[in-house]
Amino acid sequence: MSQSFITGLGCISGAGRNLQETVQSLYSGKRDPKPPVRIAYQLNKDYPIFEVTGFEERANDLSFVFAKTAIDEALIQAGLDNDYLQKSKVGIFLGTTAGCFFNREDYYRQHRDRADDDPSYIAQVLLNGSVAHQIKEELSLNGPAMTLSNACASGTDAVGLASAMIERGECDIALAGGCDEIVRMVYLGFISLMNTSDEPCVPFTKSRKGLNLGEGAGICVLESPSSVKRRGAKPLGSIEGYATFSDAYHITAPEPSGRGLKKAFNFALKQAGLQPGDIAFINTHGTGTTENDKVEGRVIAEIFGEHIPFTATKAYTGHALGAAGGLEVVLSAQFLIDQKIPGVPYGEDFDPDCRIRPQQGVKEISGKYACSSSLAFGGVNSVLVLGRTP
Amino acid sequence: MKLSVVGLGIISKAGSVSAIESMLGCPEVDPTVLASDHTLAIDIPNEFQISPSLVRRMSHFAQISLLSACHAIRDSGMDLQGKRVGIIQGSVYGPIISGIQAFDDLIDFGDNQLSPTNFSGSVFNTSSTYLTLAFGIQGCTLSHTSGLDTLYNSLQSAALWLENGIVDYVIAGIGDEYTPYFDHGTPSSDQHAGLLPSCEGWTTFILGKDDDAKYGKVDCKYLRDWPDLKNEKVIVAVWNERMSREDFLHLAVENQACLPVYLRGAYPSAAAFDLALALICGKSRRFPIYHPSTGIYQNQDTVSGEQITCLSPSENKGFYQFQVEEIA
Repeated sequence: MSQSFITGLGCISGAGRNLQETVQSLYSGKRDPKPPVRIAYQLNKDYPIFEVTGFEERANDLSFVFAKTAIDEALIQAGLDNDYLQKSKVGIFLGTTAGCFFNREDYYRQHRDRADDDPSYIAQVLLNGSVAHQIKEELSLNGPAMTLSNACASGTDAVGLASAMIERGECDIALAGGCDEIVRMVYLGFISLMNTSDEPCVPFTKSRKGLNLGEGAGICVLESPSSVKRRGAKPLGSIEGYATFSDAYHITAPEPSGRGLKKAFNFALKQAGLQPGDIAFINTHGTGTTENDKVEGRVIAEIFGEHIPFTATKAYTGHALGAAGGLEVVLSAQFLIDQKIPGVPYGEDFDPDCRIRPQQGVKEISGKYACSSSLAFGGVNSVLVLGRTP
Repeated sequence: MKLSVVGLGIISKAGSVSAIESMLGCPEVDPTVLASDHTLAIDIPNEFQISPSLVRRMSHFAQISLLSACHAIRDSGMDLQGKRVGIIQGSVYGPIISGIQAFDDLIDFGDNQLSPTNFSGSVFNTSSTYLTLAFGIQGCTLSHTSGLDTLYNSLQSAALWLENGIVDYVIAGIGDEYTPYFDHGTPSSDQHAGLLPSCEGWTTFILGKDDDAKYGKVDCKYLRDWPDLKNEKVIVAVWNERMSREDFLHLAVENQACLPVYLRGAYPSAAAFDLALALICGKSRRFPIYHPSTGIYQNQDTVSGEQITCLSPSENKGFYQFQVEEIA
């Protein structure tokens, strides 16, 4: 049973400035990760990222800029203008990880050792750091505003929570997804964790050696069935199920049997009233890290079989952290509409340890439902089930 | 939304739940005799058999939330085994000490010397994930950071999980840690002084659907305007620039209210402490009225039928009202 309808989609990423550009890059297999341009660093080696360039003058509020860009696109597609938004109960649910404090290194660097300095600037930045509230104020929205920071599952959780809030009647319309930016702390931090690749990432392949970071935003406009009916909107898809479960195993490593992810897939399918065989494809978390891909691949093979069509869009957008889940929901909804998924680069380099075999090139799919999965820091596993509206 | 509160864990300058209950039993409280430390001591109880090496790896942010959760679980008398438990953690500033340490790594030692421990400790959901590890909880987790709406949003998410039958109980912890960075300079104005935290604290609620919950039920609402407060004892959360301290003091005098800021110190997510205080007042039928002229809290018995309400400013200029239902 459909909990909420998707009536608008918007995104910005290293693969494109909007949804159309992004999916075209993915379908054509085009990707171009490069060493960072916006951020300066001193390392012996470069680690490529999928950077969104051209916003250098807004470097202090990139998460907001990315979110607003994707929201504007999604609202246009949904046919929603400011007047209508202000007359309706509209909520904003955003996942993010870096946008609050990590982007203030310059300020901290300048002021750390000054005894006469006023630290209230940082306090003010942190207090006003909720990107959902910044958007709420910008658009004069009158519904709930929630910023979630559940690491790399933040965007997925934001969409799942928004859908449940619509079902509960807390809002008629929700702008939901994720936004994030690459800053020095994040770039250097992931390198310190030794899970970053110095080459373009190759999820689920035998030669994978880590992730490439990305940034951007992915936003869906979600609406209640009554709101869709009232304004005669044409749904693009639906959120059918959502679940999140913990591994309770390790702060950075996934639990080897994937118990949390299995529960998340099974619960989300149950909530959607579906069987594994109903799923046309999975947009995996697929970061390209050794352990994550292995656990995720094995769980998918166990639940859906080894031949389930899947894709790993982080190979084209990079791992956009708090934005990743939002981006992947938006892309998955578009793939369901197009009835095709992009391939995985170097997919012929099959890793039997992952059990699922990536395919190169675009693959036609046939079906009404898809899953999008996110695995996050601390063993968080979140899954959304999306539906296609005929 | 209504939530049953089956356990409380308070880590604060004013002490734990039992310390606050004892305080309410006295005729009056002089807040100047309370501890003046900015940072609170962490002593994880042995009864939970949490690995010392796990605790050692945790940042102060994760440790304070763990200690608060331990107190709440103990207070509830609940055995987590076999129950479906979710974890929600909310914080306005997040793990700021680890974040600053990570910045210091980069500034002092160079770009290739960032400690992975400091970096991972600065991830916002570090507190919720360490709780899953410490207690072996494999349910759902969520981390909120929504400014002054953090408490309300956390409770709303908990209500959603409970109503949808996803979990039986939610461990919902809300708080902030203190960093000496805030002592660093002299605030440029009194207005800014109000923004700087003077303390830290963490409050954990064990939430469920039980009708006979230890602390009864709390009804949470958003209000555009200051409500009519007839026959209510009011606890008012004071924080930030939305209203001056003088305005709050005026309201306190007018409404015979409690301003707990002098009991627990100031930090942005302290409305969670204030709600917990309201629940303890409801259970003990005692209420501390703040007298601005003397700076003393005078405790008095509540009258049957008198409702205890906690009011907290919201991000969009209204208020959140948390009404404690009288325990039969």
